[in-house]
Amino acid sequence: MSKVVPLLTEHDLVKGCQQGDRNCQKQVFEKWHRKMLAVCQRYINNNFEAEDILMQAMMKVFTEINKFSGLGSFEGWMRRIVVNEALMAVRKQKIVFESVNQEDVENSEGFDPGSLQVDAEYLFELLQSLPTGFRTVFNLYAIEGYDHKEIASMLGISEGTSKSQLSRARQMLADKLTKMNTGDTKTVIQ
Amino acid sequence: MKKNKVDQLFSKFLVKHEATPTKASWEAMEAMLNKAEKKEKRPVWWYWSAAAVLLLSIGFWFGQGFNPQQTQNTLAVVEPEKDSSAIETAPKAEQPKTEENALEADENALKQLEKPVQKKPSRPKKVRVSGYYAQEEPKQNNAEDPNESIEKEPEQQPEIAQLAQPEVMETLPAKMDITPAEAVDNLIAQIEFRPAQATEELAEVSFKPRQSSGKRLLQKVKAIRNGDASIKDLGLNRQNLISLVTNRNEEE
Repeated sequence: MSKVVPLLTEHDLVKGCQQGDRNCQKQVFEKWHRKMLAVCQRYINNNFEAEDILMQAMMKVFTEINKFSGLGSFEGWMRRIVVNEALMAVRKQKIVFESVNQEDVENSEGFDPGSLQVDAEYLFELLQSLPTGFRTVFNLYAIEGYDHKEIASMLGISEGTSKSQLSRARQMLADKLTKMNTGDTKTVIQ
Repeated sequence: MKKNKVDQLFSKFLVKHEATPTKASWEAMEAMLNKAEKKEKRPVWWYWSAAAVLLLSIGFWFGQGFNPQQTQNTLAVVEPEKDSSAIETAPKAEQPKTEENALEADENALKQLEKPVQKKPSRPKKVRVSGYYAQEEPKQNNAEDPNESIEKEPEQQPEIAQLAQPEVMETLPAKMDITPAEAVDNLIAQIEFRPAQATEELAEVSFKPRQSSGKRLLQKVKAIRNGDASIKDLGLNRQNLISLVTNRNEEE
């Protein structure tokens, strides 16, 4: 017997959650928790810890959902909470922002991903292999879309540090991708 | 600003990326939510219970302060003074009465005397309630037809006994056709007729009103909690008690 589940819009779900409706909370959780877990895992290498952060962040989403204005996307609002929660955990571990000499910063502009055969899982693993400082800044800038000023204040670093960390992260990623593309066929994922 | 190609590649794939949890689940989430909601509710619950305990203890404190006096006064009226004068005082209270009516009243008083005791526990209340009227509204009902009032009295009594709320009591005189003095005298006569039981009831008298005042207070606390009443309503009870005591003293 098929169960008829009424199709609730995002707006309905948010409204339901604001009233503490368990069913709506469940739907929100089921709809987004995998995506939000992936966000956590980009910041935290330990998967168990990442899941703990996810739960804490979702808890915050539900308890503070009344603060969601309704303007802008709900997913974006939720993502900010998750990122914030993850950053708090990252900062507890004391991120070491490896010093980057200006000479070391190579130009990654020449990188052409056109012919790359990659998938999300591979890029995800690649990202996780970066040192915490590089990874955190790259995550915030390239994927979450914060600017250097925001990142600097979020992480308690200077804008210059944020910029150099980003450049170094890009360089490392481009190197790895190029290596994979040119010779090391083992790492190519079909 | 043109977006970096590395950034583009990663954001394209990873923004929508999903991961499969090993332990995070809706069940765990729900448990967390339930726990958080319980925690939220607890302080409110504690607040109300603490308020109730406080009000109750204040109520009992006043109850203990006032009730002994009150019961003593009741005893003073009931026992030694009006001994055997119960029947004679009844006609005295009704001024515009014919002889016939007086006889009927006497007969009624006698009937009351003959009546077996049926409602022991409610008797102390009767004394109090009708005593209350005897003092609060002594003259209003005097002009009314004694015949009618006397006949109605026995039926009305149980109703009076049930009415413990002072607010309700105030509305009663309009409904009641009993001459207050009569009511008192009849009741006095009833109690006096059974001296042995009267003493037995004394023990109850000293205990029962206190219990009922506690109950009333509890009801009021509940009413306040439900928003049907305000804190001021508690004061009513105390005032009534005070007026009862002072009126008694004046009468004597």
